[in-house]
Amino acid sequence: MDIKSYILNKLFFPKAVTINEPGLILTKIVRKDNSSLLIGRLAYLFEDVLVDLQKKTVEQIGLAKTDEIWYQIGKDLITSYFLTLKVKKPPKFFLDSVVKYMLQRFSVTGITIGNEIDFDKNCLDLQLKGSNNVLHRKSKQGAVLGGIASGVLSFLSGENVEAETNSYEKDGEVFCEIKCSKKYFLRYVPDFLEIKECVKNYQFDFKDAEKKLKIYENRFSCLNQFLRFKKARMKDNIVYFLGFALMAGEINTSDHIWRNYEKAGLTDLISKTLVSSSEKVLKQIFRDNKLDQRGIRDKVKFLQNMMAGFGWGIPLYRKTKNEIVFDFVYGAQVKTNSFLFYALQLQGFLNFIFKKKVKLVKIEKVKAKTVISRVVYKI
Amino acid sequence: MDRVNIGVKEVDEMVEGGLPKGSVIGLSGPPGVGKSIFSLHFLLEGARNGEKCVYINLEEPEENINHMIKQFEFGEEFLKFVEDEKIVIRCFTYPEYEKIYSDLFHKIKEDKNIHRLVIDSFNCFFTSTFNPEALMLNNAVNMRRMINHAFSMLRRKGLTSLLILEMELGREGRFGSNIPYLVDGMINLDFLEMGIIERRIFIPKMRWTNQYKESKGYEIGRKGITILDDSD
Repeated sequence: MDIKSYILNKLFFPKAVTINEPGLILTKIVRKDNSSLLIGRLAYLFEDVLVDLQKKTVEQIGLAKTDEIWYQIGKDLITSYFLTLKVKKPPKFFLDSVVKYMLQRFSVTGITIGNEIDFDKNCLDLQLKGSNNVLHRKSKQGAVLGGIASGVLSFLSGENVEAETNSYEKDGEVFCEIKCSKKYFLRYVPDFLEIKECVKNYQFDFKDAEKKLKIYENRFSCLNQFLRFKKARMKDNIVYFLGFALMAGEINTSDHIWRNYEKAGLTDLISKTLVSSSEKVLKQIFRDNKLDQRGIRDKVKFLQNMMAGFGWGIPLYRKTKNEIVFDFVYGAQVKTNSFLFYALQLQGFLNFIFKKKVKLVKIEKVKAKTVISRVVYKI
Repeated sequence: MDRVNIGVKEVDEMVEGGLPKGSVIGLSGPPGVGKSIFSLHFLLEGARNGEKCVYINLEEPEENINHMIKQFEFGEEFLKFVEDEKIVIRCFTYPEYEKIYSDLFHKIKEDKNIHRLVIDSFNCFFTSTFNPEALMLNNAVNMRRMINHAFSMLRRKGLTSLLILEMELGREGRFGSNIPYLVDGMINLDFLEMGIIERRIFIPKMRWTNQYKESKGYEIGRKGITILDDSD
């Protein structure tokens, strides 16, 4: 191993270990430079739900404006990721190795733009190309990937460098080409203070969470179980759950999506789309897997295990005559005002299971020994 | 390599015809997956082959074990073997067990007629056998040494032992994390509830064996454990 690779592997980006528990998917990374243990939390979302969201946004406000929103989302995502991991700006002689390393690492989450990289660290010109990127392969909207590339380069170089994308199909594959250059006009600079708040929202005592969630380990599933039972499989670094592709992201991915939609005045659109798309996805899953005829109890159990396996927290369920209550232990978003993204998807799932439109009544944080986000629906 | 049939044909096929003779095998899984039922097949098969089999239980009284056996089609045959002392069932409470465990293992080690042994569960057996204070040791090496010592009481030529472990693979604590390394094989039963309850058997480790790499689905019914045809 050469000295650059050694430094990259040992100091900047040592091996990350994924820990898969019901309700919680953690990545543990040890950085030997300051001997600290950094932990990130992941969650899975249905690719189809996000693709639907992108498409419906285009229908409503046009492609150019949709691209701006998703470009911002991509840039926020990567800034948040780097802040969570306390990534430092590398010295200039090392910049090219770190930029390439980071972009290539994303391939484990189904983002392949790092497959072909051409980078000039002196003028900060970066060209990327990859095919079959999760989300992009269906929506053909590369803005979020452009935002990610711009975010990586801007954060690591310390200078804002914007990106432009080009999507095309060739031989049945959907390619995304990205060019980053200082010559491009200013598009978006993330609000670091706002993003730091998002990062802070997700800081919690992981060791305590792991310990407290142990009582649920025989009651709920985790992603590893889905893989063992062949309910999920990996193909080209994309996880498929019963045939539906999932997008893996840091737990606060939904935060960035919601914030940017809110800024654009599109909360109505995102709310309706999350509900309708989730309902559609679950309906298809049940149909494809011949589970339509199962009773409500079995369907709810399926849903609970699915959400636990996706890392959304432990979803405890109870129902009265008029209400459905889910208590998410260590829910995906522990701050109540940002749980909406998940609550709306759950609303869609419940619409399908109960065969009627349920109404989201409230989200609240419950004071208990563990952190609980309670979601209440009226049926 | 001599092998002992488990008594479930398709599981025997997963391990080249049976468990290695003289081995110590761990059988793990969450509560209710059928570990005890699996062990009944193992004991019944031994008795059918004319082997003396011993079942030690530290958690349930004998009448509960008998109730469990009677619900299966092979129950009558099984209990006949018990009557004929081909299968010996010994249920102990902890206080009883702590008084006699040393003699018990001495007997098992010395009685060359015993060919199959099931301990249900090894978690209880282990914690009863050893000084609780010693178990507080943080030293992983000591823990491993104690488990090895326990195994040494079981290892002798001609005795194949099945240790039921109340844990899931990958979620063991300090005690459990050593066991997969020290046993000769691990059989894992697990279930998943996604609309329907699905049970699967996994064999992640089996020394001296080219074991089947995939898992197989199974169900529990009147015949005990039945392996499903995965093409269904």
